[in-house]
Amino acid sequence: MSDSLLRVDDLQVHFLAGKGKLVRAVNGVTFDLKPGETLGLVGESGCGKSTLGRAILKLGPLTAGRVSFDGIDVGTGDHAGIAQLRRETAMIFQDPYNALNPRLSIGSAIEEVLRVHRKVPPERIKARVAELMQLVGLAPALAGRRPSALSGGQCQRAGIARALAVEPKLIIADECVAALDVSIQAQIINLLIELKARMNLALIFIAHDLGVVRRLCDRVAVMYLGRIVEEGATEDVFDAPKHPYTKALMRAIPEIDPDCGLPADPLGGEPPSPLDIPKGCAFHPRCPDVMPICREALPQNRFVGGCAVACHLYEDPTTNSEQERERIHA
Amino acid sequence: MSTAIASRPGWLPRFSKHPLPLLLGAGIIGTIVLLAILAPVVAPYGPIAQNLEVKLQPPSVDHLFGTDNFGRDILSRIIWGARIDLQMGIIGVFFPFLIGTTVGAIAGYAGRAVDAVAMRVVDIVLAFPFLVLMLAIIAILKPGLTSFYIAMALVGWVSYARLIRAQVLVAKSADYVTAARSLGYSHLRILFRHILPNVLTNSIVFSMSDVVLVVLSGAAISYLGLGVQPPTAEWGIMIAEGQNFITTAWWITAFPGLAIVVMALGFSMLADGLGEKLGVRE
Repeated sequence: MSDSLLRVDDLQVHFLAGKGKLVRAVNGVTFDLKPGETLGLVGESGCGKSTLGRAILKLGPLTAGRVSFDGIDVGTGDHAGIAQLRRETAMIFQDPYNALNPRLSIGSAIEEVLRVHRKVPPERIKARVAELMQLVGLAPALAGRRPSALSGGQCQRAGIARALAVEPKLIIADECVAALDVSIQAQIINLLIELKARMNLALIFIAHDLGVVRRLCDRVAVMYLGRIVEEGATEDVFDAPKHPYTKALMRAIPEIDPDCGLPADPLGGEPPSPLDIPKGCAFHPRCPDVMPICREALPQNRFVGGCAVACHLYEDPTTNSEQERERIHA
Repeated sequence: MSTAIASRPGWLPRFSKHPLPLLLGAGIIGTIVLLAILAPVVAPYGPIAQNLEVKLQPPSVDHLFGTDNFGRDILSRIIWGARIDLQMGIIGVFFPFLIGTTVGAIAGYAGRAVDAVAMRVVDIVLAFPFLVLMLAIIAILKPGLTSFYIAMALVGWVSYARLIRAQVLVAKSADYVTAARSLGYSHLRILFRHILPNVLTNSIVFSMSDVVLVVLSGAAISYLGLGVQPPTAEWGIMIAEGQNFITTAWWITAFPGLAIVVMALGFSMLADGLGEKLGVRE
């Protein structure tokens, strides 16, 4: 496991919601990411995907757990660790307009990264800005434009160019195509595929659009109420989902086939409030295959067909070194 | 944007793009500034030149706004007074703006203890009636224009601090600020290059209407004898001096009062128009 770029260990993020109530947004998430690998983080709204992404980059609160990036522990919050994290990671945001400073032209936004991080000698800066813009498919002539004078797709490209200016090893993309038109979505996805192949970028792709995830990601982690309930290679998860929640998600993907109709049996109800997470398996109130044990005990990860699944339906996990990291939270 | 302007025929005045209040306000303030600069040329008499032979004259061709009890020409004194009153308005707003913006931005950005302390200081200043606190500070120092500016800076910054703090709090959670943090920028850079330029608009607009308040309180303080000292021509003093004659020579007080009203109107229209113009951008 020494070859992993990012290791997230039992990460928890809790917020105080007044009156002593605790919002358990992220509830013990553990995963590894190898250099150049793309992990899709999927789940319903409010399941903690974005909070997790921000916590990993130390942009949001982190209650407990460890994050180590490139072998350096960044969870403890010392300056050197965070400085390294900032030099080697970047983030792409959902709202392309909001992610760019409205008062700065996109050229100067990219330029600023190069200056602050001293990526290229000062006389090369203009050339490098043009190079980065071309890399993401923007005409360098647009460098003087402010975000308000650009389209959403162009702004998203500018945001990606700014992220790439850091020359990151890891990019976290938070719903980065959700706010774009479908045709532009495809362009941005293709751009990301091309870039990660060219630059050996590791990517955490946070999304609720499963089709996009399938196209882009090597691995998928399905989140439900602050936990990863199933994780595995994209094709394994999509072709043979194991967790009842993942199955329900896969059934909900609309098919472009008039004969198929809508999914026969959609998932009922809303996810429970993260203020009051059900005992045992958090999914049990909505689970079609619920068993008595689900209401009592939190399911540990078990390995089924190459995927890690946290569900009592499958055989108990055998003790091996993989499981030692999984601690119990009742 | 640039193409739209370039495609206009050259002879077409550009100002038609601007809101009407902005044009009117700029026109009024521009005229006052011009008159103030050209005072030695345009004022028909000296500001403190007395001529007791023509004292307390009503408006006439020789003295358009009449004369006061020393025979000084009211119109000339108003034109000369514009220099002082404009200066009061500008300096009296500049320092509170500078201090308030800095304090408010830092308080909003830093949060926690810094914010709490700064906002309690704001509360303390706001607990006193504005003019009473001004008068107290000026009385402790010594009456005069410098003391007025110092008092204005000590008292006036609180409105800017509140305004900026509230907006910084909102902007702090915007994605572009998160992006700046994710890129490893320093706090100074994030606050002054990324947040502040995006929240300054409202304060600039507010400062325009604040000029009105400052000029009025400057006039009030001069009226009370703690600001500009006689015989200097200043609108507030002129009103104060004229009050003994208000029943017999109304023009001594009426015209300086009108000057204050016109200037206030100019600045508030400028503020209005500027707000409209800058607001569209957001």
